[in-house]
Amino acid sequence: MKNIIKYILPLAVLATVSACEKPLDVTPYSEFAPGNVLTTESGIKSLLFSAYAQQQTQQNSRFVINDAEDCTDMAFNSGGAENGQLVQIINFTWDANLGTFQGDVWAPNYRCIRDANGVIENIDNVNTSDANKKLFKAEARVLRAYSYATLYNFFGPVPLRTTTTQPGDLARATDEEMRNFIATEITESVADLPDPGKEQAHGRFNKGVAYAILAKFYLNTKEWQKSADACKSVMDLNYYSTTQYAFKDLFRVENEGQTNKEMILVLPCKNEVDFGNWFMAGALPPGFKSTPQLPEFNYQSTMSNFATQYRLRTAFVNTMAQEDKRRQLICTSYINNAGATVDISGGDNARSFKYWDNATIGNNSGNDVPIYRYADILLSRAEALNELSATPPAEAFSLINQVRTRAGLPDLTQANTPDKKSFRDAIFRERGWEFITEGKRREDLIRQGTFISSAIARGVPAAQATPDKVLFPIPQSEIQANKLCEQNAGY
Amino acid sequence: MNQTVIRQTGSRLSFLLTLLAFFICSALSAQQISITGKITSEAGEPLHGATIRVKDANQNTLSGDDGTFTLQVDNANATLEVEYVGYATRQIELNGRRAVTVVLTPAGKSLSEVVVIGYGSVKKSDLTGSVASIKADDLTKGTNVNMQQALQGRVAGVQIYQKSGEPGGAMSVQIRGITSITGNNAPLYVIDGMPVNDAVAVGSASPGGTTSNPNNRNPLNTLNPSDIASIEILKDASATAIYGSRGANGVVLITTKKGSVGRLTVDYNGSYGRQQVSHTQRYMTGDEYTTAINGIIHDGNLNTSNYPEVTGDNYNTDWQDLLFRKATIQSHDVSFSGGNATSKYYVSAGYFGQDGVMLNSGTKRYNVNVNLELSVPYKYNVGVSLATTYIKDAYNATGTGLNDNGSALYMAQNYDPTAPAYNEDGSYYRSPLMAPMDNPLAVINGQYSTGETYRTFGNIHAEYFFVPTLSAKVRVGADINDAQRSFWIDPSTLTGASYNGYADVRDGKRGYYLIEGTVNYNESFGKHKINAVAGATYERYTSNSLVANARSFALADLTYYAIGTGDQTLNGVSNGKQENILISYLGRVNYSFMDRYLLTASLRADGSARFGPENKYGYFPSAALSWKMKQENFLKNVEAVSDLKLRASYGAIGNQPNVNYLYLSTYSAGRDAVFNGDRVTSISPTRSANVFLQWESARQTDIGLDFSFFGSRLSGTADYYNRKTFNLLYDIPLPLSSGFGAQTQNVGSMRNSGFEFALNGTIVDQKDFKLDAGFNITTLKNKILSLGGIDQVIGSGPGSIGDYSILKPGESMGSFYGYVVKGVWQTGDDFSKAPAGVRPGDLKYLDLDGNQVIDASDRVILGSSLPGYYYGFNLNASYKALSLNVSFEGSHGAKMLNSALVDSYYPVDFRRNKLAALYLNRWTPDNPTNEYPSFIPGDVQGLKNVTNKTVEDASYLRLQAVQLSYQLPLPENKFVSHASVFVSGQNLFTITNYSGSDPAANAVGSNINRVDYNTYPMTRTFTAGLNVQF
Repeated sequence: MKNIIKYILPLAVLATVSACEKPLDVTPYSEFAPGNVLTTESGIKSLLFSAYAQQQTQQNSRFVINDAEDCTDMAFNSGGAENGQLVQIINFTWDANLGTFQGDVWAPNYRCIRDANGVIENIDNVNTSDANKKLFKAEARVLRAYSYATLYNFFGPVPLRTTTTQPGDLARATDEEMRNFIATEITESVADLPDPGKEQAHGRFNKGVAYAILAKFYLNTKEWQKSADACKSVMDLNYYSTTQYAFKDLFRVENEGQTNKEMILVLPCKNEVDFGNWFMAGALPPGFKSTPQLPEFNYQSTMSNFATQYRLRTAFVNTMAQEDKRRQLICTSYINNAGATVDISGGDNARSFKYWDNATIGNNSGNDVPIYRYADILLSRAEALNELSATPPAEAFSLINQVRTRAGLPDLTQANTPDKKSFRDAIFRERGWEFITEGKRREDLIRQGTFISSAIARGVPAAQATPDKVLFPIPQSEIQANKLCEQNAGY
Repeated sequence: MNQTVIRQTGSRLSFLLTLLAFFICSALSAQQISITGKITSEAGEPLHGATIRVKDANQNTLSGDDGTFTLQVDNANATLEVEYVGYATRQIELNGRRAVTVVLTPAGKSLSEVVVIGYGSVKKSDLTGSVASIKADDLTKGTNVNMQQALQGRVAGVQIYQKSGEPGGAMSVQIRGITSITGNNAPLYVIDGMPVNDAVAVGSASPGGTTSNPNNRNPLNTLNPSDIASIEILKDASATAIYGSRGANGVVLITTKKGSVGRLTVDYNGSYGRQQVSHTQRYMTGDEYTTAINGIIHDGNLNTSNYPEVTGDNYNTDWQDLLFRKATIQSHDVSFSGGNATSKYYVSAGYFGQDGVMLNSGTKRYNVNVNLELSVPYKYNVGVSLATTYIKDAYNATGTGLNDNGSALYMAQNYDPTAPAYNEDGSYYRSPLMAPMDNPLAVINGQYSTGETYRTFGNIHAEYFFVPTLSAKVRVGADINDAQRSFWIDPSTLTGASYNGYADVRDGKRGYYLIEGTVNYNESFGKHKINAVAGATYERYTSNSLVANARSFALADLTYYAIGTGDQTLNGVSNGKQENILISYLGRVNYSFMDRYLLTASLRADGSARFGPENKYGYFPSAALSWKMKQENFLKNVEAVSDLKLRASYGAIGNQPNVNYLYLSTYSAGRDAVFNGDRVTSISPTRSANVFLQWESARQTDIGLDFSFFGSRLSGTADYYNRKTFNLLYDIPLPLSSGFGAQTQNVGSMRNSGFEFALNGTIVDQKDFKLDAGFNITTLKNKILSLGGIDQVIGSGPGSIGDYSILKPGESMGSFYGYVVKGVWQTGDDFSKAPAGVRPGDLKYLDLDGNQVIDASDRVILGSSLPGYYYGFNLNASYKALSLNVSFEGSHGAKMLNSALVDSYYPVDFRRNKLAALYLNRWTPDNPTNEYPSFIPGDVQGLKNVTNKTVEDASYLRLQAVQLSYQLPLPENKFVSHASVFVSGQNLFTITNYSGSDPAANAVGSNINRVDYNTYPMTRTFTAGLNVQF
C-alpha cells in the first residue's frame, strides 16, 4: 500500500501537468461568432437594426434640440445640472471639451456608420434573396448618409469612414468629397427603397425619408435647384399631407405611426427607460400642476419635473400672432402646486409643451421627436424656389400658405410679401414658429446668415460669438485619438 | 458542557482520524533500538505534545502528558530533533545513549517564527524577500467587520481604507501604490494555499433608474476574521513573482487556525456593540434655509416665478437625522480544536450581525470552518480546509446618482428643511419644488434590495515524502460563490408609482477550480542548504448570470418574491456565461551558504485564456540576495545587535486584464431599435478586439534591512522599493469615429517608489507591567512615465460632475483636473478684465490664458488621490491582568473630491438645501468675503464643479481602535483555562481638515480618483466582549 501511495501522488502531479496541456481556449458562450452574424439573413438584419438603433437616439434628443436652439433667438435654459453645459451654448463659450458634442452627436452617428458599413461590406456574402440584399444595402447606405449629413451639419466635413477596416487615424474629407458622398449614396439607393407606407415596419427607411434627407441636405448647402427637386420628389409620392391633423395634435402619442401623414422621419420614442423623450421634464415650470392653455394635459406627480428649465425667449414668442394655433403648445401661464396662477409670459420663461403626454412615466414621454416633417419639405421647396427666382414664384406662396393655413394664419400674398428678401424673411419667421423644439433653428439662422449677428444683437460679446462658431468643434476626444483629424478653425 | 463528554468527543474524533490515517498508510515496520526520554522546560515542567523525530529518517513520536516518550531508532548514533511550539528546536546527538532528557528554551521573539510564503514556508530569519508577517494576536483588537479592517495601519507599505460605513461594504487595499490604470489594483488573496477569486457574483446595478452603487460588497466578507491564525503580506518581486501574473499588486497570504497537539480546546468569543454615525455633514436648518434662500432672492432681485421664495410653515426637519439610527453590531464565534501525534482538527462556527446606521441596511453572516490534518512528519500529510458561509445583506438606496436617481442620503441632504416629513394623513409629504427628488424617507423605505450569498471555499491536499528531503504534493480546491440580489421599488415612491411597482432579481454564480501539483526538495550538504519547489497549476474561472425584472404589478404586496405577477408584456430578462483558464508552471530555489548568504531565484510561467494565441504565456522571473550579517564574525559577539540582515531583490510580476475575451471579435445583443412602436432586438459588435493584447508587467527592485537590537527589544525593517510597470493595460480611447469608445491595449509605463519603515519596541518589560509600541510609515511617489504617445486623457466623474481627472505623463495617477478659484469678484474690482457678464459676488477663477473666458483651457492639476505618505502606530500596555491596546492610523497629502461642496457651490437647483458653512457666510456687499460667492444664480461662468474649493485635502490622523481587556482570575479549575472581558471603541476621533463625510471615504468603484459622493456615513463603534477558553 505504501508503494501505491508512492506512485499515486507523482501520477497525480503528472496528471495536473498534463491537464495543463489542454489548450487555453475558452468559449464566449454568450457572444456570436462573426461568421454566423455576417452571412445569415437574420444576422445581417440584426446588424442593420443596430444601425437604426444608434440613429434613434431617443433620450439624448433633448440635448440635440437644446444644442441647436439655446444658441439662437428661440430658446433659453437655466438651472439644473444640464445648465452646466447649456450655459456655454447660450453664451457662445463652448469648446471642444463640451460633452454633448461627443456624447449626443458624434458618437451615436459614428456607431450607426460603423454598423451600416458592416452591413454594406458583407451583404454580398449573405445567404438571402437578391431583393433583400438590395433592400438592406440601400437602407444601410441611406442610414450612413443620414448620419454623415447630421455630422456635417454640426461639424462640417468629418472623417469619411466607408469600411470597418479603415485605420483609426483618418483625416477629414474635403467639403466636396463629403457633399458628393452624401448625395451620391442617397441618389443611388433611393430606387431600391420602398414607397412610403410599403416599408416592412414603420420606422425603416423608405423613398420619402431618402428624398427628405437629400432635400434638407441640399437646402443647407444652398444647392437650391437640387433641393427644390428633392422636395418635389417627396411631394410627388402623393403620400404626405398637412391637412390630416390640427397642429396641436400632430405630436400626440395616439397619432403616431404609419397613419401620420405629416411625419416623414421621427426618433420613435416610448415611455420606457432608455427609449423615452425627456424634453417635457425639462419644459415643466417649477411646481407645475396644470395650465388652462392645455386642459387636456393631466399632470401627475409621477411625471418628472427637472430642476433644469427649458425656456423660450420672450422676444421670440412675441413674434407669433395671437391667433397662431401653434401658440396652443406654448405655456405662458400655469397653476402651481399651491394653487396660484403663475405668469411666465415674460422673462424668457415661456415653455414649449409640444411633447406633452398623459402617459409619461418618470422622465420618459412617448412622443416621437420629428426629424423631417412634410411642412419642412413644403417650406424648404418654397425657400429654394424663392432663392432661384428674381421674385417669389406663385408656387412658393402656395407652399408656405399650406403651412400657414394649418396654423390659422392668413395667406401670404404678392402684395404683402412682394420681393425675394421679404419672402425669405417670411420663410424664416414661419420656420421658427413651426419648428419650435425640433432642433432646426441653428441651421436655419446659419442659412439665413444671421446666426452670429443675432447672437451679438442679444448681447453675446463679439469676442465670444465669432464667425468660427458657425461650426461646432470636433470633439476633443477625436482630436486626441485620431492623429490625422484636424480641429475646426477658431477652436 | 461536561468535560467528560468533551474528552470523549475528542478521543472519538481522533480515533476516526487515526483509522483514516491507518488506511492511508500502512503501519511502520519494526525497529531495533528503543530510546526513552523526557522533554521539559527550563523550569523543569514536562512539555506535553513535543515532536521528537529522528533526523534524516522516518521515525517520530510525541511526548506524553508527563513529557516522556519512547522512540525506535535504526542507529545508536542517530540525531534527534525536538520541536515544540513556542520553543527553540533542538537537535540531540544520541551518541549511543538510550535515555535522554531534553530541556527546551523559549524561542527568541521573532527569528525562529515560521513564515508562510507562496507554495511553502521558511524561517523568518531565512527570508530573502520583503514579507510582513502578522499573527492573529497582533491584529487590531475589537470587533473587526472584516479581515482588512484588522490590518489597517498595521503594516508598512499597505494602505487600507474603508470606503464607506455601509455594512459589508468594500475596502480599498493598496500595497505600495497603484500598479495599473484599468487592470486590477487589489492584492491577490490566498487562503490556506488557495487563491481567492475576488470577482463579485452579482455586481452593482441600478435597476429601474435607482441609485447605482459602484462599490461592490467586499469579497472577503465570507471569511470570519476570528478564524485567521496569521497573515503574511508579500511585497517585493522576490516574494510575489511565484504568483506571477497575479502578484503585481502584492499578495496577502491568509492562514486559518489549525488544531494543535493536545486535548480538545473550546474557545468562545463574543461581542456586542453599538454604532453611530461618526460625522454628520451640517446642512442648513429650516430657519437658516429660509433666511439664506430668501436673502439671495432679495439680494439678486430674482424673478420669483423661477426662484420661488420660501414661505409657509417651517417644520425644521432634519432629514439626515430621520435616516440615521444607532445600530447594533455583534459577533459570536465558537471553535473546537485539538489533536494528537498524527491528526489535528479545528472546527469553528461563527455569527456576525451588523445593522447599518442608516435605515434598512445591514448584514448577517453565518459561517462554518473545518480544518483537518493528518500527518506523520516527513512521511505524509493529508488535509482538508473547508469554509462555508451564508451572508444575508440588506441594502438601502446608496450610491452615486443625481436627482431622482440619487441616494436617500443625497435627497436628505438636499431636501427642503422647512418641509414636513409627512402629510397629516400619514403619507409622505412631497415638496413640488424638490421634484424630481422624492421624499427621502419614501426612498429609504421604498427603494431597497436584499442579497443572499452562499459561498463554499476549500481545498484538500496530500503530500507524500519519498525520502525526508523530497516530497510531492497535490492540492485540489474549489470556490463556489452563489449569490442572488433582489431589488424592489415600491409604488409608495415616485419612481415606483410611475412603474406601479418594479422588481428586479439578479442571480450570479462564480466558480473557481484549482488543481495544483508541486514537488519539494530540501537538502543540506555541509555548509550548503537547498530548498526547492517546482510545480504546475490549472485554474478555471466561470461565471453565470441571470437578470429578470418585472413592473406594473396588479397587487404589489409580494415585492420581488413574485415577479410573475407583473405585467408580462413589460418583463425584461437577460443572462450571460463566461469562463477563463489560467495554466501555470512555477519553480523556486532557496540556496543558503554557511547560513550567511542566501539566494532565492524563482520563475513562473502563466498562460491565460484572456490573451490571443500569440500572447497567452507570460514569464515572471525573480531573484533575491540576502546577507545575514549577524552571523559574520565581526558581529557575532556584539551583544547589542541581536540580528542584522541585508536584502536585495529584483523581479518581474504581471497583471492580466479584468475582463474576458478582449482579443476576440464577436457580436452580442445591441441596443433595441423601435419599429411600429415596438422594440426590436439588434446585434452589434461586442468590442474593438485587440489580438495583440499581452501581459502587463511590473519590474520591482527592493533593498531592505532587517534589524533587531538589545535581545530583540527593538526590532524593525527598512525598505526602499521601486516598481516600474510596463505595457500598462489601458482602455485607450479610440477615435469615436471608429464607432468604438475604447480598446484595451498595452501602453506606456508608470513608476511607484518609496520607503517603508517599521519599528517595534518593548519599552517596559517588567513582571507586572509591559509596554510595547509599534510604528510604521510608508512614502509613496507615483509617476506616469508614458501613455504610449497619448498626451493626456481626461476622465469623467460620477453623477453630473463631468471632467474631473487627468492622466498625463510626468504626473501622478489619481490627479484631479479642474479650475482654480482665486477668490470672489468684489464691488470695486476692475471688471474690464473679467469674463463678460460676471457680477460682484461671483467666483473669480484663474484665467490661465487671459482670454477673459473661463473655459477648458484654464484647467490645472489640483493634486492626486494618492497620499505622499501614510502611517500607523500602536501601543500595547499590560499591567497584571489588565491590558490596553491603542492603534492610530493616518495618511498625508491625498486629495479628494467632495461632492457635497460641488452641490452647494454649483447647485443643480437653487431651492435645494446646502451646506450651512457656505450659505451662512455667503458674499454680500456687506460681507465682502473672498471665501464664498454670493450664490446668486446666473454666474455666466457655468458649473465649474471641479476646483480647488471642491477638491479638498484629505490628510488625517485617526484613533482607529482602543481596547481595554481584563483577564479574569480563575479558581484552580481545569474546566475554564482562560477567560477575559474587554471593552473597545473604534473610529474614536479623527484629526483632519477635510470637510466632507470622511477623509478615507470613496464612493466610486475605482480607487484611483477618490470621490466622496453621498457616502454612506462612517461609524463610531463601542463594543464589549468576552473570551472564554475551556
